[in-house]
Amino acid sequence: MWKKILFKSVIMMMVISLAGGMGSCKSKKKLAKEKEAAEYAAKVSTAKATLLDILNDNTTMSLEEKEAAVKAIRAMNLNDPEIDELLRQAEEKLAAERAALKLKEAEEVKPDETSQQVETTKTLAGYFSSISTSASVSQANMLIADALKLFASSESPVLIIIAKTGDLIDYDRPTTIKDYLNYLKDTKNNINKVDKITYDSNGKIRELELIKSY
Amino acid sequence: MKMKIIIISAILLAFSSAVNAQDNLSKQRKAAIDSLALEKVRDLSKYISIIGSKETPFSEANRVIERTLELFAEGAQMGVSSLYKDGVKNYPVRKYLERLMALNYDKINITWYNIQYISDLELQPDGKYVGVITIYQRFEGTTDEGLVYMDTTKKDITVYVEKKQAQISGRLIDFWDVLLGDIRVAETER
Repeated sequence: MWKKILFKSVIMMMVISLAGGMGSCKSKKKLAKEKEAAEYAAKVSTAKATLLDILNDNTTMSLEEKEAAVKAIRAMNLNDPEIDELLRQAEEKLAAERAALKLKEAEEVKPDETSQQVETTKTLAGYFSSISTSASVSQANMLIADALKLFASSESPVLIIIAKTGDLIDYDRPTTIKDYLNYLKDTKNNINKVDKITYDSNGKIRELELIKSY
Repeated sequence: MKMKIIIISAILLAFSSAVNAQDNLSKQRKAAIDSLALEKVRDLSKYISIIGSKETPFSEANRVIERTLELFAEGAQMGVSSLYKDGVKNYPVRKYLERLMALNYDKINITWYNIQYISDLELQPDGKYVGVITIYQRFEGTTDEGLVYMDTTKKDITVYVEKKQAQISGRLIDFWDVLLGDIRVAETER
């Protein structure tokens, strides 16, 4: 009798334990799913907050940081229609900011270029005057060699404007800087003023435009 | 017959429109071209003075000869006269310049003055502007022995101005090309 009861009890305990074990496995999966869902919700929420901050200019991030944040959110592939729409708006906004920054940078560079042009114009005018009034051929040749250092090549083109009427520009026959400097030495005819200077990437003069001042 | 008339009319129309294209120059632009041609003649006078001068180093004189030749149309000739010889000799420009450089004087002084148009630049049917500029040349050659030869020659220079195109840094530039033609001796006096 006792043996029977003991046997039954053991069987019962085994069933209970088995049933209990199964239940625990089921809740672990549920927990993982819940955890995953919570993580996704957190990701969506953070992404949404970040994107809204960017869109509302409610952040201290630099443009580069904002671009990196948007790129990271895009890479998450959150597959959320609201996030997708916010991403589109943010990318559009940042592209506009980038374009505006480029424009500003270009405008900021201009004064430097202008001051470089003014400086070079003065230097060239000095050379033109000295070469055309030099006392000897050797002195003029030294000045020419010196002036040529400002140019990308001794064959750099020189255009001479003889008349400007609105958009219409009349030029003399194009020459090279070497020939033009020799022309000044030979004829002493220094009547052309610097009108435009084009530089190469090394800051040397690639092309020179002069204008007659009769 | 009708076909002939149509073809001739078409040729004339094309020709006149080509001429009109260059004739529509404003006074300001025409004046600039006039001045440019005069300037080329003044440049020539400086070059001739340098080539003729005995103080000019040989290499410089040769360089200036090449620059001078750039001013001339191909085949242009230079008239030369002398008080002691009858007639005028015409030389190709290079030969004239080389002879000038080799003249047997110890000091040479050449100056051009009264440089002006005697015939304004006029548009020709071929689209070129042609004019004549006159100059007076004073020549003084002195030997170490003190012998001096002097004369003044009036010369007429035919000037051609033509619109051309050149490619500069990848872009096409329209420019006015001034070329000097024959230089004829009009008169020579002491």
